[in-house]
Amino acid sequence: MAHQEVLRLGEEAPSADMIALQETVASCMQCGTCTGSCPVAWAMDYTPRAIMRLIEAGMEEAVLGSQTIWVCASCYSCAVRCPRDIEITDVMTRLRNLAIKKGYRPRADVAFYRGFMDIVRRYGRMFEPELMIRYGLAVNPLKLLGQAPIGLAMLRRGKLAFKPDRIKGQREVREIFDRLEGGRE
Amino acid sequence: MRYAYYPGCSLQATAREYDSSLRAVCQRLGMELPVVEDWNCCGATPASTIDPLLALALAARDLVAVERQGLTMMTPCPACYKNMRKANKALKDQSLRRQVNEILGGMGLQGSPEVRHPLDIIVNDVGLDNIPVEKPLAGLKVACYYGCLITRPRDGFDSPENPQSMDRLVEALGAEAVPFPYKTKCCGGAVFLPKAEVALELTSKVLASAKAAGANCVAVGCPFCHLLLDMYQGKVEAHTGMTFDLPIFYFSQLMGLAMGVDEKELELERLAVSPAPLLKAFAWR
Repeated sequence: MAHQEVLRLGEEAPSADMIALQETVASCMQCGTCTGSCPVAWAMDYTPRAIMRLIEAGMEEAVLGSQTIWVCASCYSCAVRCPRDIEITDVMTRLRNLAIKKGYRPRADVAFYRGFMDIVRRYGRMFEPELMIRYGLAVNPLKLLGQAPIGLAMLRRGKLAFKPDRIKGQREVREIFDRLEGGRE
Repeated sequence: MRYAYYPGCSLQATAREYDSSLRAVCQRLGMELPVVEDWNCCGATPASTIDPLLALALAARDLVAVERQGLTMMTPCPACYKNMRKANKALKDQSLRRQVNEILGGMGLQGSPEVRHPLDIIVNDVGLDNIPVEKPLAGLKVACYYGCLITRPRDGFDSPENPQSMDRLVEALGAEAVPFPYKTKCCGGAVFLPKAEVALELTSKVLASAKAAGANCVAVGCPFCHLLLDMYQGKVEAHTGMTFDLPIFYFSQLMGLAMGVDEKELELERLAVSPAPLLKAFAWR
Protein backbone atom coordinates (compact mmCIF):
# COMPACT_ATOMS: atom_id res chain seq x y z
CA MET A 1 0.00 0.00 0.00
CA ALA A 2 1.43 3.33 -1.03
CA HIS A 3 0.70 5.07 2.20
CA GLN A 4 2.96 7.86 3.23
CA GLU A 5 2.91 9.47 6.59
CA VAL A 6 3.64 13.14 6.43
CA LEU A 7 4.90 15.07 9.39
CA ARG A 8 3.22 18.44 9.15
CA LEU A 9 4.07 21.15 11.61
CA GLY A 10 2.08 23.88 9.92
CA GLU A 11 -1.44 24.80 10.89
CA GLU A 12 -3.10 23.82 7.66
CA ALA A 13 -2.34 22.47 4.21
CA PRO A 14 0.30 24.65 2.53
CA SER A 15 -0.90 27.02 -0.17
CA ALA A 16 0.07 26.64 -3.82
CA ASP A 17 2.66 29.44 -3.44
CA MET A 18 4.17 27.65 -0.47
CA ILE A 19 4.30 24.36 -2.35
CA ALA A 20 6.17 26.07 -5.17
CA LEU A 21 8.67 27.42 -2.61
CA GLN A 22 8.99 23.98 -1.04
CA GLU A 23 9.99 22.65 -4.43
CA THR A 24 12.62 25.38 -4.81
CA VAL A 25 14.25 24.59 -1.49
CA ALA A 26 13.69 20.83 -1.56
CA SER A 27 17.39 20.03 -1.97
CA CYS A 28 18.37 22.02 1.14
CA MET A 29 20.38 19.82 3.48
CA GLN A 30 20.40 22.26 6.39
CA CYS A 31 24.16 22.76 6.30
CA GLY A 32 23.84 26.35 7.49
CA THR A 33 26.29 27.85 4.99
CA CYS A 34 23.66 30.50 4.26
CA THR A 35 23.42 31.55 7.88
CA GLY A 36 27.18 31.49 8.29
CA SER A 37 27.55 33.74 5.23
CA CYS A 38 24.70 36.11 6.05
CA PRO A 39 25.94 39.53 7.21
CA VAL A 40 22.59 40.32 8.84
CA ALA A 41 21.68 36.98 10.49
CA TRP A 42 22.28 38.65 13.86
CA ALA A 43 19.39 41.04 13.22
CA MET A 44 16.92 38.33 12.12
CA ASP A 45 14.35 36.45 14.18
CA TYR A 46 14.88 33.27 12.14
CA THR A 47 18.23 32.61 10.45
CA PRO A 48 18.19 31.88 6.70
CA ARG A 49 18.76 28.18 7.42
CA ALA A 50 15.77 28.17 9.78
CA ILE A 51 13.64 29.86 7.13
CA MET A 52 14.53 27.07 4.67
CA ARG A 53 13.44 24.49 7.27
CA LEU A 54 10.21 26.35 8.08
CA ILE A 55 9.36 26.42 4.38
CA GLU A 56 9.94 22.68 4.13
CA ALA A 57 7.69 22.17 7.16
CA GLY A 58 5.01 24.32 5.54
CA MET A 59 4.91 26.81 8.40
CA GLU A 60 3.66 29.66 6.31
CA GLU A 61 2.62 32.00 9.12
CA ALA A 62 5.96 31.82 10.83
CA VAL A 63 7.82 32.46 7.59
CA LEU A 64 5.67 35.26 6.21
CA GLY A 65 5.32 36.94 9.59
CA SER A 66 9.06 36.88 10.22
CA GLN A 67 11.32 39.92 10.39
CA THR A 68 13.96 37.95 8.51
CA ILE A 69 12.50 38.48 5.08
CA TRP A 70 12.56 42.27 5.63
CA VAL A 71 16.01 42.33 7.19
CA CYS A 72 17.58 40.44 4.24
CA ALA A 73 19.76 42.99 2.46
CA SER A 74 19.69 41.06 -0.86
CA CYS A 75 23.48 40.78 -0.89
CA TYR A 76 23.52 37.27 -2.46
CA SER A 77 26.29 36.01 -0.14
CA CYS A 78 24.17 32.97 0.72
CA ALA A 79 23.19 32.28 -2.89
CA VAL A 80 26.75 32.17 -4.24
CA ARG A 81 27.87 29.79 -1.48
CA CYS A 82 24.91 27.42 -1.26
CA PRO A 83 26.35 23.96 -2.04
CA ARG A 84 22.96 22.95 -3.43
CA ASP A 85 22.73 26.04 -5.68
CA ILE A 86 19.50 27.23 -4.11
CA GLU A 87 18.91 30.88 -5.00
CA ILE A 88 18.18 31.76 -1.38
CA THR A 89 18.13 35.51 -1.97
CA ASP A 90 15.45 35.05 -4.62
CA VAL A 91 13.51 32.86 -2.18
CA MET A 92 13.57 35.80 0.27
CA THR A 93 12.24 38.07 -2.47
CA ARG A 94 9.44 35.63 -3.25
CA LEU A 95 8.59 35.47 0.45
CA ARG A 96 8.30 39.27 0.54
CA ASN A 97 6.00 39.14 -2.51
CA LEU A 98 3.87 36.57 -0.76
CA ALA A 99 3.84 38.43 2.55
CA ILE A 100 2.57 41.57 0.81
CA LYS A 101 0.01 39.58 -1.20
CA LYS A 102 -1.31 37.80 1.90
CA GLY A 103 -1.53 40.90 4.02
CA TYR A 104 1.44 40.46 6.33
CA ARG A 105 2.46 44.07 6.16
CA PRO A 106 5.20 45.43 8.36
CA ARG A 107 4.26 49.08 8.05
CA ALA A 108 7.69 50.65 7.76
CA ASP A 109 9.04 48.20 5.20
CA VAL A 110 6.03 48.27 2.94
CA ALA A 111 5.88 52.08 3.16
CA PHE A 112 9.41 52.17 1.80
CA TYR A 113 8.91 49.69 -1.05
CA ARG A 114 5.52 51.06 -2.08
CA GLY A 115 6.66 54.65 -1.76
CA PHE A 116 9.64 53.90 -3.98
CA MET A 117 7.52 52.31 -6.69
CA ASP A 118 4.84 55.03 -6.56
CA ILE A 119 7.53 57.53 -7.47
CA VAL A 120 8.84 55.39 -10.33
CA ARG A 121 5.29 54.95 -11.56
CA ARG A 122 4.75 58.69 -11.66
CA TYR A 123 8.02 59.96 -13.11
CA GLY A 124 9.70 56.89 -14.58
CA ARG A 125 12.74 57.56 -12.41
CA MET A 126 13.58 57.85 -8.74
CA PHE A 127 13.24 61.20 -6.96
CA GLU A 128 15.05 60.71 -3.65
CA PRO A 129 13.82 63.75 -1.65
CA GLU A 130 10.20 62.74 -2.15
CA LEU A 131 10.96 59.18 -1.06
CA MET A 132 12.73 60.37 2.11
CA ILE A 133 9.89 62.71 3.00
CA ARG A 134 7.05 60.30 2.20
CA TYR A 135 8.75 57.47 4.00
CA GLY A 136 9.55 59.65 7.01
CA LEU A 137 5.99 60.94 7.29
CA ALA A 138 4.51 57.45 6.92
CA VAL A 139 6.73 55.91 9.53
CA ASN A 140 8.18 58.34 12.01
CA PRO A 141 8.21 62.10 11.46
CA LEU A 142 10.68 62.54 14.32
CA LYS A 143 13.15 60.23 12.65
CA LEU A 144 12.73 62.33 9.53
CA LEU A 145 14.07 65.29 11.50
CA GLY A 146 17.05 63.14 12.44
CA GLN A 147 17.82 62.79 8.72
CA ALA A 148 17.88 66.58 8.27
CA PRO A 149 21.64 67.04 8.79
CA ILE A 150 22.46 64.46 6.12
CA GLY A 151 19.85 65.98 3.82
CA LEU A 152 21.53 69.36 4.23
CA ALA A 153 24.98 67.90 3.67
CA MET A 154 23.74 66.34 0.44
CA LEU A 155 22.07 69.55 -0.61
CA ARG A 156 25.27 71.52 -0.05
CA ARG A 157 27.13 69.11 -2.33
CA GLY A 158 24.52 69.31 -5.06
CA LYS A 159 23.49 65.71 -4.51
CA LEU A 160 19.75 66.28 -4.21
CA ALA A 161 17.58 67.18 -7.15
CA PHE A 162 15.01 69.90 -6.57
CA LYS A 163 12.49 68.48 -8.95
CA PRO A 164 11.75 65.08 -10.37
CA ASP A 165 13.33 64.05 -13.65
CA ARG A 166 10.35 63.00 -15.73
CA ILE A 167 11.02 60.73 -18.68
CA LYS A 168 9.30 61.20 -22.03
CA GLY A 169 7.74 57.76 -21.83
CA GLN A 170 6.01 58.44 -18.50
CA ARG A 171 2.81 57.07 -19.96
CA GLU A 172 4.51 53.89 -21.15
CA VAL A 173 5.82 53.28 -17.65
CA ARG A 174 2.47 54.01 -16.05
CA GLU A 175 0.85 51.56 -18.44
CA ILE A 176 3.28 48.85 -17.34
CA PHE A 177 2.03 49.30 -13.77
CA ASP A 178 -1.61 49.47 -14.91
CA ARG A 179 -1.41 46.31 -16.99
CA LEU A 180 0.14 44.42 -14.09
CA GLU A 181 -2.53 45.57 -11.67
CA GLY A 182 -5.30 44.89 -14.16
CA GLY A 183 -3.97 41.39 -14.68
CA ARG A 184 -3.90 40.75 -10.95
CA GLU A 185 -7.41 41.63 -9.89
CA MET B 1 34.57 51.51 -28.52
CA ARG B 2 30.92 52.38 -28.11
CA TYR B 3 28.67 51.36 -25.26
CA ALA B 4 25.06 52.24 -24.51
CA TYR B 5 25.37 54.22 -21.29
CA TYR B 6 22.69 53.58 -18.69
CA PRO B 7 23.50 55.89 -15.76
CA GLY B 8 20.60 54.91 -13.48
CA CYS B 9 18.85 57.27 -11.09
CA SER B 10 21.59 57.58 -8.46
CA LEU B 11 24.14 58.90 -10.92
CA GLN B 12 21.95 61.93 -11.49
CA ALA B 13 21.62 62.68 -7.80
CA THR B 14 23.64 61.25 -4.92
CA ALA B 15 26.36 59.84 -7.19
CA ARG B 16 26.83 62.74 -9.60
CA GLU B 17 30.58 62.70 -9.16
CA TYR B 18 30.61 59.04 -10.25
CA ASP B 19 28.80 60.03 -13.45
CA SER B 20 31.01 62.98 -14.31
CA SER B 21 34.31 61.29 -13.43
CA LEU B 22 33.41 58.12 -15.31
CA ARG B 23 32.36 60.01 -18.43
CA ALA B 24 35.54 62.09 -18.31
CA VAL B 25 37.75 59.04 -17.94
CA CYS B 26 35.96 57.02 -20.62
CA GLN B 27 36.24 59.91 -23.03
CA ARG B 28 40.03 60.05 -22.46
CA LEU B 29 40.15 56.31 -23.10
CA GLY B 30 38.51 56.84 -26.46
CA MET B 31 35.10 55.47 -25.60
CA GLU B 32 31.84 56.79 -26.89
CA LEU B 33 28.91 56.52 -24.52
CA PRO B 34 25.58 57.31 -26.20
CA VAL B 35 22.95 57.38 -23.44
CA VAL B 36 20.16 54.79 -23.51
CA GLU B 37 17.19 56.59 -25.05
CA ASP B 38 14.65 57.78 -22.46
CA TRP B 39 15.76 55.20 -19.89
CA ASN B 40 13.60 54.46 -16.87
CA CYS B 41 14.45 53.33 -13.32
CA CYS B 42 15.43 49.64 -13.17
CA GLY B 43 13.23 49.17 -10.09
CA ALA B 44 16.19 48.62 -7.71
CA THR B 45 15.20 46.21 -4.91
CA PRO B 46 11.64 47.51 -4.35
CA ALA B 47 10.20 46.47 -7.73
CA SER B 48 10.95 42.78 -7.24
CA THR B 49 9.64 42.99 -3.68
CA ILE B 50 6.31 44.39 -4.85
CA ASP B 51 6.01 42.23 -7.98
CA PRO B 52 8.68 40.21 -9.82
CA LEU B 53 7.01 40.85 -13.18
CA LEU B 54 7.22 44.59 -12.58
CA ALA B 55 10.97 44.28 -12.04
CA LEU B 56 11.33 42.34 -15.29
CA ALA B 57 9.16 44.73 -17.29
CA LEU B 58 10.99 47.86 -16.08
CA ALA B 59 14.37 46.35 -16.94
CA ALA B 60 13.05 45.02 -20.25
CA ARG B 61 11.89 48.47 -21.36
CA ASP B 62 15.48 49.66 -21.00
CA LEU B 63 16.88 46.57 -22.68
CA VAL B 64 14.59 47.22 -25.65
CA ALA B 65 16.16 50.67 -26.01
CA VAL B 66 19.66 49.15 -25.84
CA GLU B 67 18.69 46.57 -28.41
CA ARG B 68 17.63 49.38 -30.75
CA GLN B 69 21.06 50.98 -30.32
CA GLY B 70 22.65 47.65 -31.20
CA LEU B 71 25.26 48.08 -28.48
CA THR B 72 26.41 46.55 -25.20
CA MET B 73 25.01 48.32 -22.16
CA MET B 74 27.44 49.87 -19.70
CA THR B 75 25.88 50.58 -16.34
CA PRO B 76 27.95 51.92 -13.43
CA CYS B 77 25.32 51.19 -10.77
CA PRO B 78 25.58 47.60 -9.49
CA ALA B 79 21.88 47.51 -8.54
CA CYS B 80 20.92 48.38 -12.12
CA TYR B 81 23.61 46.01 -13.39
CA LYS B 82 22.21 43.14 -11.34
CA ASN B 83 18.61 43.84 -12.38
CA MET B 84 19.47 43.99 -16.08
CA ARG B 85 21.49 40.78 -15.90
CA LYS B 86 18.75 39.04 -13.98
CA ALA B 87 16.12 40.16 -16.47
CA ASN B 88 18.20 38.84 -19.37
CA LYS B 89 18.57 35.52 -17.61
CA ALA B 90 14.90 35.21 -16.61
CA LEU B 91 13.69 36.19 -20.07
CA LYS B 92 15.44 33.22 -21.64
CA ASP B 93 12.18 31.51 -20.63
CA GLN B 94 10.06 32.13 -23.73
CA SER B 95 6.65 32.10 -22.07
CA LEU B 96 7.85 34.60 -19.47
CA ARG B 97 9.29 36.71 -22.29
CA ARG B 98 5.94 36.73 -24.10
CA GLN B 99 4.20 37.73 -20.87
CA VAL B 100 6.65 40.58 -20.24
CA ASN B 101 6.47 41.78 -23.84
CA GLU B 102 2.69 41.94 -23.46
CA ILE B 103 3.07 44.00 -20.29
CA LEU B 104 5.34 46.32 -22.27
CA GLY B 105 2.46 46.89 -24.64
CA GLY B 106 3.93 45.34 -27.74
CA MET B 107 7.41 46.86 -27.90
CA GLY B 108 9.03 43.51 -27.60
CA LEU B 109 12.47 42.53 -26.47
CA GLN B 110 13.90 40.20 -29.10
CA GLY B 111 17.30 39.16 -27.77
CA SER B 112 19.45 39.61 -24.69
CA PRO B 113 21.63 42.72 -25.05
CA GLU B 114 24.86 42.31 -23.16
CA VAL B 115 25.09 44.25 -19.88
CA ARG B 116 28.41 45.17 -18.31
CA HIS B 117 29.87 47.15 -15.44
CA PRO B 118 32.49 49.78 -16.34
CA LEU B 119 35.09 48.09 -14.14
CA ASP B 120 34.78 45.00 -16.36
CA ILE B 121 35.02 47.08 -19.52
CA ILE B 122 38.04 49.08 -18.34
CA VAL B 123 39.99 46.09 -17.06
CA ASN B 124 39.04 43.60 -19.79
CA ASP B 125 38.25 45.62 -22.94
CA VAL B 126 40.47 48.69 -22.58
CA GLY B 127 43.19 46.81 -20.70
CA LEU B 128 45.25 48.11 -17.79
CA ASP B 129 48.29 48.68 -19.99
CA ASN B 130 46.32 51.10 -22.12
CA ILE B 131 45.44 53.51 -19.32
CA PRO B 132 47.60 56.60 -19.82
CA VAL B 133 48.91 57.20 -16.30
CA GLU B 134 50.50 60.64 -16.02
CA LYS B 135 50.62 61.02 -12.25
CA PRO B 136 51.06 57.68 -10.51
CA LEU B 137 49.16 57.64 -7.23
CA ALA B 138 52.18 56.61 -5.15
CA GLY B 139 51.39 56.85 -1.45
CA LEU B 140 47.72 56.03 -1.72
CA LYS B 141 46.86 52.85 0.16
CA VAL B 142 43.53 51.85 -1.23
CA ALA B 143 41.04 49.39 0.22
CA CYS B 144 39.10 48.26 -2.87
CA TYR B 145 35.52 47.73 -1.80
CA TYR B 146 33.40 45.78 -4.27
CA GLY B 147 30.32 45.34 -2.09
CA CYS B 148 27.70 42.86 -3.23
CA LEU B 149 26.41 43.30 -6.72
CA ILE B 150 29.51 44.01 -8.79
CA THR B 151 30.36 40.32 -8.41
CA ARG B 152 27.14 38.69 -7.18
CA PRO B 153 24.96 36.80 -8.07
CA ARG B 154 27.38 34.36 -9.71
CA ASP B 155 28.49 34.24 -13.36
CA GLY B 156 29.87 37.76 -13.34
CA PHE B 157 33.24 39.03 -14.55
CA ASP B 158 35.10 38.60 -11.28
CA SER B 159 35.20 36.25 -8.30
CA PRO B 160 32.37 36.75 -5.78
CA GLU B 161 34.71 35.71 -2.95
CA ASN B 162 37.98 37.47 -3.70
CA PRO B 163 37.62 39.80 -6.68
CA GLN B 164 40.79 41.40 -8.03
CA SER B 165 39.85 43.68 -10.91
CA MET B 166 39.67 46.91 -8.89
CA ASP B 167 42.84 45.98 -6.98
CA ARG B 168 44.70 45.47 -10.26
CA LEU B 169 43.27 48.73 -11.57
CA VAL B 170 44.44 50.87 -8.63
CA GLU B 171 47.87 49.21 -8.79
CA ALA B 172 48.08 50.06 -12.47
CA LEU B 173 47.39 53.65 -11.36
CA GLY B 174 50.46 53.51 -9.12
CA ALA B 175 48.62 53.15 -5.82
CA GLU B 176 48.89 50.28 -3.37
CA ALA B 177 45.88 47.96 -3.05
CA VAL B 178 45.81 46.78 0.56
CA PRO B 179 44.44 43.28 1.32
CA PHE B 180 41.04 43.94 2.81
CA PRO B 181 38.91 41.09 4.23
CA TYR B 182 35.60 42.97 3.95
CA LYS B 183 35.96 43.77 0.24
CA THR B 184 32.79 41.87 -0.71
CA LYS B 185 30.79 42.22 2.51
CA CYS B 186 27.51 44.07 2.35
CA CYS B 187 27.15 47.72 3.48
CA GLY B 188 23.38 47.37 3.99
CA GLY B 189 22.59 49.77 1.17
CA ALA B 190 19.41 48.01 0.08
CA VAL B 191 17.82 48.37 3.54
CA PHE B 192 19.37 51.60 4.74
CA LEU B 193 16.04 53.43 5.02
CA PRO B 194 13.78 50.76 6.56
CA LYS B 195 16.59 49.17 8.61
CA ALA B 196 18.95 52.05 9.31
CA GLU B 197 20.58 50.53 12.40
CA VAL B 198 21.46 47.37 10.44
CA ALA B 199 23.08 49.39 7.66
CA LEU B 200 25.09 51.49 10.14
CA GLU B 201 26.39 48.34 11.80
CA LEU B 202 27.41 46.71 8.51
CA THR B 203 29.04 49.88 7.22
CA SER B 204 31.00 50.30 10.45
CA LYS B 205 32.50 46.84 9.98
CA VAL B 206 33.56 47.62 6.43
CA LEU B 207 35.17 50.90 7.47
CA ALA B 208 36.85 49.32 10.50
CA SER B 209 38.24 46.55 8.32
CA ALA B 210 39.65 49.03 5.78
CA LYS B 211 41.24 51.05 8.59
CA ALA B 212 42.74 47.96 10.21
CA ALA B 213 44.16 46.91 6.84
CA GLY B 214 46.19 50.12 6.82
CA ALA B 215 44.26 51.86 4.04
CA ASN B 216 44.29 55.64 3.83
CA CYS B 217 41.30 55.67 1.47
CA VAL B 218 38.66 53.39 -0.04
CA ALA B 219 37.65 52.90 -3.68
CA VAL B 220 34.10 51.87 -4.65
CA GLY B 221 32.05 51.30 -7.78
CA CYS B 222 28.56 51.58 -6.32
CA PRO B 223 26.42 54.61 -5.41
CA PHE B 224 24.92 52.91 -2.33
CA CYS B 225 28.26 51.75 -0.96
CA HIS B 226 29.46 55.29 -1.50
CA LEU B 227 26.44 56.89 0.17
CA LEU B 228 26.89 54.79 3.29
CA LEU B 229 30.67 54.78 3.54
CA ASP B 230 31.06 58.47 2.70
CA MET B 231 27.90 60.46 3.44
CA TYR B 232 27.03 58.36 6.49
CA GLN B 233 30.60 58.02 7.77
CA GLY B 234 30.01 60.67 10.42
CA LYS B 235 26.88 58.91 11.57
CA VAL B 236 28.68 55.58 11.69
CA GLU B 237 31.41 57.20 13.77
CA ALA B 238 28.81 58.55 16.20
CA HIS B 239 27.09 55.14 16.26
CA THR B 240 30.27 53.20 17.07
CA GLY B 241 32.51 55.73 18.81
CA MET B 242 35.26 54.93 16.31
CA THR B 243 37.10 57.42 14.13
CA PHE B 244 37.72 56.47 10.53
CA ASP B 245 38.49 59.63 8.62
CA LEU B 246 38.71 57.66 5.38
CA PRO B 247 38.06 59.45 2.07
CA ILE B 248 35.88 57.29 -0.18
CA PHE B 249 36.60 57.63 -3.90
CA TYR B 250 34.80 56.23 -6.88
CA PHE B 251 37.37 54.17 -8.80
CA SER B 252 36.76 56.50 -11.74
CA GLN B 253 37.90 59.47 -9.65
CA LEU B 254 41.18 57.73 -8.85
CA MET B 255 41.61 56.95 -12.54
CA GLY B 256 40.99 60.58 -13.37
CA LEU B 257 43.57 61.77 -10.83
CA ALA B 258 46.19 59.42 -12.24
CA MET B 259 45.34 60.27 -15.83
CA GLY B 260 45.66 63.97 -15.14
CA VAL B 261 42.02 64.74 -15.83
CA ASP B 262 41.03 68.24 -14.71
CA GLU B 263 39.92 67.91 -11.09
CA LYS B 264 36.79 69.94 -11.80
CA GLU B 265 35.52 67.06 -13.90
CA LEU B 266 36.16 64.63 -11.07
CA GLU B 267 34.00 66.65 -8.66
CA LEU B 268 36.04 65.73 -5.60
CA GLU B 269 34.35 68.56 -3.71
CA ARG B 270 31.14 66.53 -3.62
CA LEU B 271 32.71 63.95 -1.30
CA ALA B 272 31.54 64.26 2.31
CA VAL B 273 34.87 63.12 3.76
CA SER B 274 37.25 65.56 2.13
CA PRO B 275 40.21 63.93 0.39
CA ALA B 276 42.08 67.25 0.34
CA PRO B 277 44.37 66.59 3.36
CA LEU B 278 45.30 63.17 1.99
CA LEU B 279 45.93 64.39 -1.55
CA LYS B 280 47.87 67.45 -0.38
CA ALA B 281 50.48 65.19 1.17
CA PHE B 282 51.55 63.96 -2.26
CA ALA B 283 53.82 65.83 -4.55
CA TRP B 284 52.08 64.63 -7.69
CA ARG B 285 49.06 66.75 -7.03
